[in-house]
Amino acid sequence: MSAPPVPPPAASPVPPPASGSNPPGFNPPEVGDPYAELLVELDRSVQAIREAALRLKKAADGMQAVERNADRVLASTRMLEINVSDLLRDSDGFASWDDHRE
Amino acid sequence: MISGGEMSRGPALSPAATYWNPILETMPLERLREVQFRKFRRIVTWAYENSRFHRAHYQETGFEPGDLRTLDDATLVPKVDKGHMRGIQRKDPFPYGDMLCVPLERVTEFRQTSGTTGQAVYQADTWQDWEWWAESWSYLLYAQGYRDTDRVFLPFGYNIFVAFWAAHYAAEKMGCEVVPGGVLDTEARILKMQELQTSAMMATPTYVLGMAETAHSLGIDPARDLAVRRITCAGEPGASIPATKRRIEEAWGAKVYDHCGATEIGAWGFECEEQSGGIHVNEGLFLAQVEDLETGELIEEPGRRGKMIITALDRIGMPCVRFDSKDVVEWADEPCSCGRTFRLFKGGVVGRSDDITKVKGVLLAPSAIEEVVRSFAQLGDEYEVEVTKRGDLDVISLKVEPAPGVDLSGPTQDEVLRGLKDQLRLKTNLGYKVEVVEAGSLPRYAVKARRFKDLRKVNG
Repeated sequence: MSAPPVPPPAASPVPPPASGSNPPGFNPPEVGDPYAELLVELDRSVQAIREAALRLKKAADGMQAVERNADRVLASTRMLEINVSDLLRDSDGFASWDDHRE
Repeated sequence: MISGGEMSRGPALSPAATYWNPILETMPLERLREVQFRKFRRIVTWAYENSRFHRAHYQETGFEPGDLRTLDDATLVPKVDKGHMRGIQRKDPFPYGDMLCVPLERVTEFRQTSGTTGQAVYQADTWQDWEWWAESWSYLLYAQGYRDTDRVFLPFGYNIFVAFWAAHYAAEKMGCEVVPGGVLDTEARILKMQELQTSAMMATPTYVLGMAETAHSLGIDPARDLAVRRITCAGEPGASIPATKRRIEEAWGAKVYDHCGATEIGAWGFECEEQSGGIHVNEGLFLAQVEDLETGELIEEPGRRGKMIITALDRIGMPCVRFDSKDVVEWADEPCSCGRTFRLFKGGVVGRSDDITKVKGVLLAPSAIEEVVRSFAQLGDEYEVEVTKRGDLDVISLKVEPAPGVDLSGPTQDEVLRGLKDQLRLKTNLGYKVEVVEAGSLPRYAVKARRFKDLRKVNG
């Protein structure tokens, strides 16, 4: 049994960082890394999900049905970061290590 | 700097059929170590800043997270063992004590260790940690060939022990159909597996062998009448003991894969489909180090046994940082043919530093006895070893049973016992008093078996 091939990542809603304006802690992969472009593109989508979930949680204004489900999305997003974003960023850039911290 | 024109999308398509995360699992070693170091520094800093226990523990030696400049500095971080955990538990924040790094209201999961080696250790996890448990299990199940076409049976108690809980969530995440065999007894489980034609299952090696025995008593031959073609074993070293693995594979007509993990650590190791004689450390999620059993010196080279000190790099509720696992391991000398750069421990966990004991001045690992006993087709799956003291002498008594349908009497018994004693002496350098007992008379275990009993302190 084999899994279907990885589909190409969907177009990112977040524009790529302009040259010379990488976020703090961003540790770009080396040129020649066969997965570099894919990782960067995936990370952009992961961060967009995280930011959307954080916005959703804040906008919920205490509504548990939204807040708790947003927390679950954030926990799942953290798994995406383990698989994607952590491979690109240094420890100072692990912004979502724990989104519950103030 | 990223420049799209200089990079391709990469060989992502075909590896996706083989690896859960082809990027991480085949990452060049140098880069993998960089990722591990960054993650190690992060979890150490997190533990220092958020756990009163870790801060005090580190301050006792003068260590501070800023001392970590390279991965080689990891040994500066003081180790933690079960004794530390037992010492701080059952106090505020109740019942976990000062190791907790998050407010209690963030804890969503309670589990405890089996208490095999003493007072049970309580483990807290946040929901993020629980997602991480399922993620680490996903790496191993995917490496063992589980796919969304599998119907997976889980014949365990779904109780207070972590056991296969995370396997359940991982298999769901991967799209498998999961059949929870929780409260059913062994007979009902076998009948349900037959009815549903489940393709895979997970259990301890002892229980898997016991299930086969029960199936035969029902007139069911698991290899012929059931559809299980893949079994993941955990909780005991059996699936990495060749004779035990062979027995399970023959009884079930299935491939048997080993997995290593612990409540306090996570699901850190797995055998892949290549079965190249070892288990991979999931080096994307864990940092494993091997220390000499006596000197504590770090062992990087293959072929030298030591105990594993391990860090879970992403577990935040109750972090596992430089935990002394007591697992005895050795690095393999060759990379696995599966293409993963995650290193292998040759032969899996070959013993426990607290199980390996000196008998008659010789170091004895109980797993070596199991390997010999189960290599004799005339002998059953169960055995029992007792080490006692007679005067100043250590005596090792071994009880074995005949295999089902085998008549072990007269000259046949003499021949088998002679062969068994010879092999035991060859493999362990020790002599044994061996007794054949009636089939079915030795204890049967559903979870962690205790077949090795050192009664010298009790007697003495």
